[in-house]
Amino acid sequence: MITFEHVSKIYKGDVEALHGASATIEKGEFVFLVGPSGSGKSTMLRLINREETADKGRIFVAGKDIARLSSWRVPYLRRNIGCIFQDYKLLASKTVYDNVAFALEVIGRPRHVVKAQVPAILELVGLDGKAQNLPEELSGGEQQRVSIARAFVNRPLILLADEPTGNLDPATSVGIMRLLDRINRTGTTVVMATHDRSIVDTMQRRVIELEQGEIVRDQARGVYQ
Amino acid sequence: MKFDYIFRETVNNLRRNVTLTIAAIMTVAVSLALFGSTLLVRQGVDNVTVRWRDGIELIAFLRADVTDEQRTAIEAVLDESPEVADVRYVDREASHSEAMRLFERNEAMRAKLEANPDLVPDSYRVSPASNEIDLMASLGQQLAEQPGVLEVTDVSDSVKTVTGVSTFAQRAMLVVGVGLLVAALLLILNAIRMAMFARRREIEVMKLVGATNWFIRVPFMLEGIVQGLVGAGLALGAVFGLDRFMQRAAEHEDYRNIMEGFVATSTELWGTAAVVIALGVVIGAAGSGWALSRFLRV
Repeated sequence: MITFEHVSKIYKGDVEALHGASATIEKGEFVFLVGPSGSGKSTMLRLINREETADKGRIFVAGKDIARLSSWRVPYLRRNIGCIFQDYKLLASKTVYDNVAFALEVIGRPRHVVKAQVPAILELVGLDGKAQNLPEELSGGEQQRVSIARAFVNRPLILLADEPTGNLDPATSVGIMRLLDRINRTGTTVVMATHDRSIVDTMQRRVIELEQGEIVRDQARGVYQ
Repeated sequence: MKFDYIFRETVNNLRRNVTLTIAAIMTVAVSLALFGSTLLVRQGVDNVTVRWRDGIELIAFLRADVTDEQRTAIEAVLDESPEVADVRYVDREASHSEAMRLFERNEAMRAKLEANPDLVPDSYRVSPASNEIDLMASLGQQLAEQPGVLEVTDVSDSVKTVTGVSTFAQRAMLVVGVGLLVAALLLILNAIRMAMFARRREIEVMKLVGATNWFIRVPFMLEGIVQGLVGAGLALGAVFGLDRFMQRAAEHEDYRNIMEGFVATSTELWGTAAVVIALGVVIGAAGSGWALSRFLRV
């Protein structure tokens, strides 16, 4: 599903965020990216949905070399990739329902599809009673559920999660991880960057460890270390 | 769904920065009003001085009953005179259609012309070889004495003054108009930039979920174009107002002599309107396009 071939990424000012990274992630896998801040976890995620482009090496997503994608096709790549973040990135002026519906509206889905899919996904994430609330009226865990609903409503092949439990207490984090696990079981590939040792250790999934832009460990059913 | 969304977003954007929107619209309006008025005044001046184009400074109108011999004699005088650079013969039909065009919107004058096609006589239009006023005056006198000549008119000081003053005024208005047009462009650029800043989170989410670039851009483009169009609409009000004023002055007893013909024809008026509208759209599209290409990385 996702292949990195000797990928390097150098930011302005000669900061090498990623150096010769190679890894293959199969369809339906659940992968943790671990490592200290600045080790290149977020860069890997940003390269996958082409928010950044690699300076060296090649990246394949769903069989396509994404560096060769013309810029007008990038939105169509992103429709296959859901994203969630530590800060949720919800629109404060929109209700829970509208936040999720927005993701479908702006890619031109017809009204009846929006009307059918938004309530269904809100039920899946356990927020069917909060559709008309504003984000500020929700707890952190609930806000992250809204952002997961938004990322998953279009049934993407891949879900990228950048520190999704970074702002949440351990109990709430467990709930979020259960939800991600459930989404992963539908066949969606999940790639999650995290600092959360206990989550990685309990889940026992594949772990890719980065250090100063290099992959130093790639272990099936690994732990945080 | 899509049109719905685009319409809603465009209206929201315009409402969100209402003060900047008003500033942009007013600047567009003032600059285009100056532009449109300049065009209109120029057409008016062109029309009132149409007989004096191409350096013509002397016109000999012929009697309706002029004979061929008299004509030959007049042409001989013109041919022999060293002061004459060029002569153009304008017959009755050409003069008539010229007058009909100029007085297109003046019903009374048209009726008079229709009833009496010979009202505008044949003429010789003379452009001089030099600027010597005395020489031209003596040539005029010579022509006036020829049998068959009804009347000789030379370019009057008033025509020269009108042309001179209007050329200056047009240039000044054009300079101010262009300056304001640039200001309008920058204001629209900033209005769009503010709108994009206000919506940066939505834009970020739209990019993440895979909205196409055009989908993200269109509401901002429309916002700029609406500002340009509304400004152009207001400017049109000023242009039509000026046109009405010119026409009323032309019909007024006291000013008829000065203002006669000093109106644009309806083709010219609508041409001016089209130019104003087109400029409004171009300014709006350019301002927002510039903002998008500079501040919206996709």
